[in-house]
Amino acid sequence: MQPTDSYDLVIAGAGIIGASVAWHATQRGLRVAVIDAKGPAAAASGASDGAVSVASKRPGLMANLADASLCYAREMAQHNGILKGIFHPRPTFIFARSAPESAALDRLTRMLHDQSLSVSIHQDGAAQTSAISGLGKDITRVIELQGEAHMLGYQATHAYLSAAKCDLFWPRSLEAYEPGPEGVRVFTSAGEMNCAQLVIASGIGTMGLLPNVPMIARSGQLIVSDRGPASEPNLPGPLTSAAYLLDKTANGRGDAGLPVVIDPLRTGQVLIGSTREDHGTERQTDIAIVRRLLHSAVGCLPRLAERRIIRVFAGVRSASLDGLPIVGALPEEPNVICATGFEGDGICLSALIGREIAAHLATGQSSPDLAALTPGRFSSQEAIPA
Amino acid sequence: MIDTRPLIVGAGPAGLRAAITLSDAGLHPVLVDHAPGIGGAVYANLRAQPNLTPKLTREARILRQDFDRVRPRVDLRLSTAFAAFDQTGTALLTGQAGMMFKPRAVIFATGARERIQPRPGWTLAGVSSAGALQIALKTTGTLPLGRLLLAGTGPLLYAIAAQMVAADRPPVAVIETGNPLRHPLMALRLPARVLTEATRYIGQLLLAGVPILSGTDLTRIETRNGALIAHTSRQGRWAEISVDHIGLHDGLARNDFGISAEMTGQTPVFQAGDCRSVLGRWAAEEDGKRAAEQVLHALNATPGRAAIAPDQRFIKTQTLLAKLFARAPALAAPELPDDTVICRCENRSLGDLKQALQTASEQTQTTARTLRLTERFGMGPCQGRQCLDWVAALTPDTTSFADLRGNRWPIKPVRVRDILDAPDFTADPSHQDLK
Ligand SMILES: Cc1cc2nc3c(=O)[nH]c(=O)nc-3n(C[C@H](O)[C@H](O)[C@H](O)COP(=O)(O)OP(=O)(O)OC[C@H]3O[C@@H](n4cnc5c(N)ncnc54)[C@H](O)[C@@H]3O)c2cc1C
Repeated sequence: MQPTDSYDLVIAGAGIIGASVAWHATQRGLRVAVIDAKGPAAAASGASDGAVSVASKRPGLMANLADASLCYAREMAQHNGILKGIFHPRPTFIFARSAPESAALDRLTRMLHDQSLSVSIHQDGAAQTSAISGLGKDITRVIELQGEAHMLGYQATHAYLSAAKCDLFWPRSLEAYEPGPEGVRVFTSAGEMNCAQLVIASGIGTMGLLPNVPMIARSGQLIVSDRGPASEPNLPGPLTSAAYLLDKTANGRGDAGLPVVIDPLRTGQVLIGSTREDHGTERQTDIAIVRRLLHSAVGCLPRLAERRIIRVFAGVRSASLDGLPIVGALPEEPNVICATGFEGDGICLSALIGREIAAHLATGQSSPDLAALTPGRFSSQEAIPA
Repeated sequence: MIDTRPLIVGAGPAGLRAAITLSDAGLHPVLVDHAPGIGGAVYANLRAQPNLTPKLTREARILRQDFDRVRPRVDLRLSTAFAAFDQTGTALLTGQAGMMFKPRAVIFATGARERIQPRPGWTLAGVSSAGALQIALKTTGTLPLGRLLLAGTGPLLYAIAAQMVAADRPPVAVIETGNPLRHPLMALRLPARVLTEATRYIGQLLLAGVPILSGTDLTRIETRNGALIAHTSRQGRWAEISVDHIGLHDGLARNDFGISAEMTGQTPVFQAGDCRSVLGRWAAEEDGKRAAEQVLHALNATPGRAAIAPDQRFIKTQTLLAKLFARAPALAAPELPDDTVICRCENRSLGDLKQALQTASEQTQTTARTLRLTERFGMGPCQGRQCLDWVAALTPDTTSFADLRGNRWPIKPVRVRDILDAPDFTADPSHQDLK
């Protein structure tokens, strides 16, 4: 297929969200082009952990969306599905070191009980009774969950883009667009393209493109260890502090402790994360903060002290002001669809968001489940006088 | 205590001379080296075991004396690694005398690193870098048992071979890809002290009957009956040499791995010696002095003194040496079989790399990030020290070495315990106590 400059759909951004939309749209027979300023997984999707986690979501809508995405991704990992070998089910261990953390575990238990989710509690008890041996003495309680999974952002991005029969262009940035009666004219760093519909899935880059959609950059630092001795069994699943759940709630974590996550990679390495700073400097990693994170991680799992750190890096989460993703057609511009603001949940939500946006593009019907995510919510708020 | 003393990383000729210069100006530098003694690679015998009474060259003796003179003013931290430097100006040292502090200025004098071209069999047991053999010889006086072979290219090979001869363990042969002996007239243009040294090495090798097989490639290594078989090729003629240990060396590159101006925020940072430009030990010492003067200038510790331009003589010498050793056609990677391991940490082959490049099209290049994340080049514990030169060379249109390496820390893998054990002298209120 020769690339042309006219498509049913142009997607700006080859992160996990753009890639998932691309694959789902080609499955529906659309002619799709994906452009990226740098290349695939060049931003958050290539600099994140891959927890597909429901437990860490706010009760209500976010937990429901995460659960729906988890179930759908699980399906796509079966038989010869697109996520086979990329989406890996595994248990999750969430622990408490303090009273506020234990209270967070109680709230989690309530959420899993109240909302009918596919994730369930396998065990809840003292550290000694947990399936993980050698936990630090700071840990007082561990909940083991069943049903969650791990999926690395760059692997999923790569899988979607390799399987999607679409045209790929990079480096090529979206610079501006002009909606018209016959579709959208797209101005890129390498010339003009025409399409019926445009999806802007540019992560933090969306900020510059859509100034009316308010967003904040929240960077996060991650630490990668070596593989460790062959005799040392890796963790069966991530060890997540309950402070991490609190981080995502309105009140924040207060004195609950550092929100550390110790995540085993399939290579035998361990990924330790992650901080949440209100700035967007991708390259900034900082010795004092990393040391504090490591100190906290060793308190939870003392044997980590003998691992060697081989890399520290940072990624930038694109967050919305109200903590909900921003997904849907722009107000007044029905042919321009925005998909960003996933903050720390984009890997988890990518499967569902790709499917729903593709359905919307192909049928013109948008999913009622995603109504609350519309970018229109920001402009309508402005209309209300303070 | 708030510690802001200037930091010098590397105690080779450049770092030692920088420390001497800063101390003479009244500063108290911190000098760190991961080795257990001073001297760096070239004067590694300054830290030789006590029972080896090493012969020191005149330059090494003078450097040692000058350093001994300022020693009380230098905080020398040996067996200690420089691990990281961040945008807040914090430096992390780990190991025996680790600490965190905020140096007012930093000089990187981390020397050169050896390049080793991948070849089939280069990852076999018994194959190492020639430099590793040299350091063992200089510091412990020992070499691996059995027959030794040196192969690759560059002046250092002859120095190492001659040192082996002097230690009564002459190599079976030196296999040299280039043809340096074929241009005697060009060689005569080298500075006298370089020429004298080279002549002495070659003389020692000839006297000991060590064959120098120039214009010859070591194309493949395999094991047979417990021995290593080196397959060589010279203008299409093949030969086999059976040995027990092979030292490979394909030239030197700046050891500025993971160190760049970008990582350093506001703190003045300079590079000195081979770390800035691989010009050898004499240039390195002068360059260490120059970098120290730049630091003094930046800190206004001396009346404004302009930086001295790198000495043209040393650059000319290295250009000439490069020409002498150059050979056409170079052993090019496309001639290598696809199963040649390029990245030994993650076991990625030339074929893997080629395939990754093939999936790209006219509109999409294979980005440095994809080569790292998806293809895993440069992601292992060596952090790409071994493979990224070759990956960059094989993808000239799409990636650069700098893209592939990035500026991530730690500079070398470091134990979590060592990071936690380093006392904090940054006195930064934002650091919040660990306890
Ligand atoms: C430290 C950290 C840990 C995380 N851990 C998890 C986790 O465990 N689980 C989870 O679910 N989520 C996690 N996340 C969040 C997740 O990584 C993101 O939500 C997700 O990757 C967002 O994907 P995206 O496609 O929206 O954006 P991105 O991956 O940021 O992709 C945006 C793409 O758009 C391109 N672009 C930008 N501007 C333009 C332009 N003008 N024209 C063309 N292209 C452009 C960029 O080059 C980039 O490739 C984490 C994030 C971080 C930073």
